[in-house]
Amino acid sequence: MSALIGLAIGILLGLFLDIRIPELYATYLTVALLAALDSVFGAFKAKLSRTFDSLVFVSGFFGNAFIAVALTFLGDKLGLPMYLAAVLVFGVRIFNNFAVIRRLALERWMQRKRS
Amino acid sequence: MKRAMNHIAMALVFLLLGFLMAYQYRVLREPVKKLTVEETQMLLREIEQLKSEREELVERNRRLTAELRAFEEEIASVDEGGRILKAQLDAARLLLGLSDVQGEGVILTLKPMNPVLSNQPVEYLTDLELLYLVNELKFAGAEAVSINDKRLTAQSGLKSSAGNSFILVNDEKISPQDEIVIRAIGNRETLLGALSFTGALDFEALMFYDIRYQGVDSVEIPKFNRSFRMDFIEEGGAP
Repeated sequence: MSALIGLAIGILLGLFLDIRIPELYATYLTVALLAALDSVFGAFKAKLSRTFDSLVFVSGFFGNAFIAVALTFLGDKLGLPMYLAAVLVFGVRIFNNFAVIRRLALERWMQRKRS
Repeated sequence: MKRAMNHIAMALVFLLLGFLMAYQYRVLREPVKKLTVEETQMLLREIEQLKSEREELVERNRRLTAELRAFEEEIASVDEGGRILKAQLDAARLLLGLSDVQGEGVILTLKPMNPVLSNQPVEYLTDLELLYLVNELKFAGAEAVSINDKRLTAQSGLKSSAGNSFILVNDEKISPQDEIVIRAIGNRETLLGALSFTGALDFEALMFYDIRYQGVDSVEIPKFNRSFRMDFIEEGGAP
């Protein structure tokens, strides 16, 4: 519930608060967002498989975002598009997590139906 | 207590996620300002108008300069003092860059290498390399120098701008990614000697340019087409 309230407030703030992040950091923001989404999917999967730990989730959320941004920054300095690596890795992980979530959700639904 | 903290942490994390997603969505949805057909036509009309105004002004300037020259000739023909004054005025104009000049000298052409053909990343010229070349030429006795037909005067400055996407010469833009032509009037042999000195043209990014130079009997340099600034300068007191 707290997650949903936080998400709703965040969306409202993002839509209506007049904050401008410089164009220069657009790639960093996107990569951080992708890393954050990966963590959220990971958390959802952990919740369904009853292994969720909020400390692991919060540290993963910020840690992944930080590493992704740092890699992108390093890539910029070396003239290497490292953000592609982040996009690929987090993209694949999101799909994998989603596959597990789907399977777990289906299993639960089948169990409930059987009982 | 721990449970409450967990809830707050989750709320904050999701707040941040929501904010990032909504912000990104808002930024991507913001329309890029596009000109309507009417606005484009109006701008084109304005450009045409300004062009014709400019041509009129250039023509008027040419007429007035011719009239001024005629007056000067008239005064010079009256007496010896006037003739000397006129000769000094003409010499001062030549040195200041206020008249078109010609004479023997060199023409230097700098063409950037094709990045595809280079085995290392191509660097483009900055103000530093141009200053270096102008200094080499002046040190070798160049009396007048122009970069892409922009005459360098006592008040000229060179400056890279917008992340070196262009270099300002007399406040006009030249692109380091295009061919740059430097003309210099002076003793042809001395100028050629300075340029052909070993390592003279290996300075910084000059290495990434195809540089050709040749001595020419008559190098033509157009006059400085802007006005000099005289806001602060005044004659010093007598010693």
